[in-house]
Amino acid sequence: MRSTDHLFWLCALAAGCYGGELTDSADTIADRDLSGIAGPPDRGSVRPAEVIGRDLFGMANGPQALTFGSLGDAPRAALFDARDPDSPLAFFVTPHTAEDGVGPMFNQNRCGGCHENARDNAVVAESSAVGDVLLVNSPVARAGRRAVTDHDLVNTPLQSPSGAFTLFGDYFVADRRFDPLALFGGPVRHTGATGACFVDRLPDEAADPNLASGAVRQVGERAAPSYVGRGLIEAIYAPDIEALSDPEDRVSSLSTLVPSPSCAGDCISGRANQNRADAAIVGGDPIVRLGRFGLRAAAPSLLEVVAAGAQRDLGYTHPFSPTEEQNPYNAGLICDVAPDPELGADEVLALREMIRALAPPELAPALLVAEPDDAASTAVHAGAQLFGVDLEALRTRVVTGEEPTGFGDEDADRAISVDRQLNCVGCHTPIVVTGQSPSTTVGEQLSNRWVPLFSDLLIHDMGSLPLEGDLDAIFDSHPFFNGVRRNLADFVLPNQGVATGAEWRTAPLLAFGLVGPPFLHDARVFLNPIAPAYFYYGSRTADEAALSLEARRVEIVDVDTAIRAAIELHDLPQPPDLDLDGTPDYASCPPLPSALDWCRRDSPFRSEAKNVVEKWHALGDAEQAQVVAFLKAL
Amino acid sequence: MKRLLTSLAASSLVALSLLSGSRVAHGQPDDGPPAKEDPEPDDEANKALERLESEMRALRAEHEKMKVELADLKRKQAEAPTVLPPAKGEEPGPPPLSPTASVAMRYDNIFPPDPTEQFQGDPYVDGFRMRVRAGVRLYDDTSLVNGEVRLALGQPQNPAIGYVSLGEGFRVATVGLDRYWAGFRPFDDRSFIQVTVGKMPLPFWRGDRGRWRSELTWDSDVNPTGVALDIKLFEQAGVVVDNTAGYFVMHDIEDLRFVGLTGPVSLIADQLRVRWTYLTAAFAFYDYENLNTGMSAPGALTSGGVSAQPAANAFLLQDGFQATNNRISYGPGAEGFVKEAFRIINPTLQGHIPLPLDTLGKGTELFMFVDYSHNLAVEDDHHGIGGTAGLKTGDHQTGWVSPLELWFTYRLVQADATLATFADSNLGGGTDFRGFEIGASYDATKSVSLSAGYFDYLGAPSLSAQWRRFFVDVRWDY
Repeated sequence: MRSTDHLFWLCALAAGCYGGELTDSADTIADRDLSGIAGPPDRGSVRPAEVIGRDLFGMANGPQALTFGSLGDAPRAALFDARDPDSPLAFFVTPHTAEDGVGPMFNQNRCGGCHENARDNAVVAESSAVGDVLLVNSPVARAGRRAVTDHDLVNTPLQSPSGAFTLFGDYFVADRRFDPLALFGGPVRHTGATGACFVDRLPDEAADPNLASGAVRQVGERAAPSYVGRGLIEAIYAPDIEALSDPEDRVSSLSTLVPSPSCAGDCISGRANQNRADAAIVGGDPIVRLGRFGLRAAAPSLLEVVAAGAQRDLGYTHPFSPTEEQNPYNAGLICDVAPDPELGADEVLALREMIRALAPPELAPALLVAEPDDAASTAVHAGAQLFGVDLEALRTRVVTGEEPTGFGDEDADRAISVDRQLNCVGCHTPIVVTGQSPSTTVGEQLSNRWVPLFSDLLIHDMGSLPLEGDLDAIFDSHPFFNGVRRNLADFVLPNQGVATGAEWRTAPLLAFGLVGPPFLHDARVFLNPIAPAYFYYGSRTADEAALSLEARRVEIVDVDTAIRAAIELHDLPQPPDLDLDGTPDYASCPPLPSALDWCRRDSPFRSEAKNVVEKWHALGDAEQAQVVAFLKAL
Repeated sequence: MKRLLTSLAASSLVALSLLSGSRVAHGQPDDGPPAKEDPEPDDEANKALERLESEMRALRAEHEKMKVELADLKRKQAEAPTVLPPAKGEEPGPPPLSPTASVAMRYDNIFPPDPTEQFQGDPYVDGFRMRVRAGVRLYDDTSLVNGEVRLALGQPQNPAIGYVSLGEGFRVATVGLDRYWAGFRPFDDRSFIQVTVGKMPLPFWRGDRGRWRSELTWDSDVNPTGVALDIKLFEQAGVVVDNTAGYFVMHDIEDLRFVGLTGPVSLIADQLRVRWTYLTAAFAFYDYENLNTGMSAPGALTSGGVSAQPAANAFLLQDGFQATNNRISYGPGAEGFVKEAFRIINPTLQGHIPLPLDTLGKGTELFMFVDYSHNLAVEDDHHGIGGTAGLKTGDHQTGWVSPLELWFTYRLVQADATLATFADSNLGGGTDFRGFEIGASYDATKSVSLSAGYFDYLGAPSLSAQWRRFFVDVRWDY
């Protein structure tokens, strides 16, 4: 054998070994139902995803409003008959008791407790416009919020202002290790307890030995997203997601908007999260796989999401997570009255099947018309173009019967325009293609589809304030940190794969306009017309830069301002040197050591979206309103 | 006996030689015409010959009779104890010491349920298992004291499983004491009362037709440790009433340094049994106490921290035991039983019908057994019911087949119907199951037997997992 042959076989072996971690054979796909492994798409037979009309989507807890019309009568009834107590939808929406299995520690007594932003929207709708957002709580709703969580009050009988839940733990900065403080009941803080038991308390920092050993206490909130499209996300072939990553920021993109990026590429350098499911659930896949579920895409399998929700939030044990959550304050107290496991494996799998079968809504007609014919559709189209969408490519991939324009072209198949303008599409990839769904019930509806997901499912560095810095000093001295918190990062990282504290999965914008606020991973951008949250927008001109802070304050009282706030929060506050056209304004930026200078434009602490936000700041009111109108059309 | 045989043979030979000698003496050849004979001597000779022939017939008849008697004596000798009982008024000697041994090889094949896809290869597990037991037993019907010491090879922690995997990595095999007990029978009627102390064979009645025993509440491999008292209360007109009571300790954690629940996990039990020809009924009550002993959980300190004690489940819910009872959480990492005590009633009924099929084997019969268990201490999942029908036939002497048994068992046992730790390790693997067993055993010789079983049931948790299993055993007993 020649030496080149050896080299060939070595390379083949190496590729095979590596490939074996993230790819699968048909046999393993069939065997590992719990892993939910998608097969490759048949690109020649890809069709538009089946959708529900916008007037029906999420309007009721029934099959017409939630699932595919082409699904057979039997699975529709089995999964979506809320009157049948054995159906997973009934389980999802019904409040449960301790005797059923809730507790001993819990955050909600029903799945719907974390998927009920419609409750908040209904309240807001009485006093302000919420547009077309849903007013019915269902599995396609997301977590609600009407105020910032006051952790001193969550243990009182007062109704929680948030459907979000709190994570806590200690983060060791030097070795990037997270201790979930399981001995204290962590990492999920439970605000409910059955019987005579006590809820979790954040452990006293004085009694925490980690904090004397280089760790910092980290607390973060998480808001459950809408479950719409999760079956489609599961059906995406993993290498197709991997293909979108650009960890070295080598990809640059054409944009006619200013300013130009201050990076080698377009500043966007997403990467795929990776994790093993067996760390999260019993029976999980012991193979490192691409993560796609969860706010940091830390979960490779959809089952992990369902299993964690049932066990950690409701307190239901089941074969995939058979141990009750507990805290040391309840030692010896009998508050868990239901024998374990409180749910069978089949019930958990039925919940997963129901979530798989949630159908997406159709896009707004204003977005899908070939030529805009009124002011509304004109604005939506303009906003889409600013977003970076190739509208023709999008329309012909989501409307049944159309011939996909530019079929086979990488950008056209993703509905990304040549001129990416704001380059929101750098992360919010408009169209993704599903492969072969692992679902046996709804596989036909999920496989080989164009899906307007508006996400690359990668994790991106969304910026962070330096952990070593004095955050209180930053918050006190920098006025932009008043109002809605600007720092997206937290280092609460229980089993979060390769994600760092600053990295978050690109939120899918599928049904964004219908599900509505609150926005961001912890629902920090919320609507409350009585006590509105507020944010400060970045200046767009030198004149605006001269405005007082108060003049730049925007109260979040409707969906439009909420969307603007969510966009603004994609990066740390605007660097002062942009305001002053040269000299950094360190009066509004704390004089930290230069290595920790998070203020400047090219600071490593800034988000991958920094250039997008710079361009966003440079837009006028009308243009920003067009982008908002486009997002509401999703 | 040998003397008897020798004298029988000698007398037979004498008679036969006498007979043949007379014929030779009279010179009566078988071929050629008969010679003219002297009538008087001939008459005498004929008379003598007739007399001898008559004697010979009588001797032959007696010979046949003695042969039958000899066979009967041989059989009785084989069945009789080797040591004769002491004469009346004589002090009883020590009971005979008998070595015992049993070696069994099993091929075991299990199709486990896999709701969590832990098995990603073949959908079954199989392999060979082995059980080796050896000991000495002191026993006879008349002695004051009986007892047994038995060793078993490499017993696993689960007390309901007697088999171990082959191999041990070629290391020295571990051997443990499987039984050690002594029984005292203080009255002349030895069957009246017996007090047994130690780690003893299960004293509770679970059926007595052939080899099959009900295992709804007790696996046949369980040998409890404690004290048991057997009393025969009544015996008349074919009706026998007896009672077995006992106190057994499963685990005892003294309240010294252990932080958590302490005290003995114990069982107080009583079983009343009535036997009458073809029916036997029993009623048992089992009271398990301190089931959560061994459980500990880290607790909050008033200083704001958490005590660093290790968390532990209740002893009987720790790894290695059959733990299919309902369990709930009492603290981080501390799971326990729903109730501190289980109070179980267990009525049983057995019937058997002899079948006129002696050609198959003596004692051919159909038997049935019904078993019910109810846990009075818990509110849910507290019923267990089982039924068995079987055929017993064959024998080693006259039957067409050696001893053969066939049976079918169905059981529905809810999670807390009984204590899973000691329940059947084959059908159900504890509690919380519904399913059936088909079994057979065949004694190829008096010391070598074959048995097989097929099990199919929905098991824990909550009857959601389907198990299938079959095994084949080859066993040699001494």
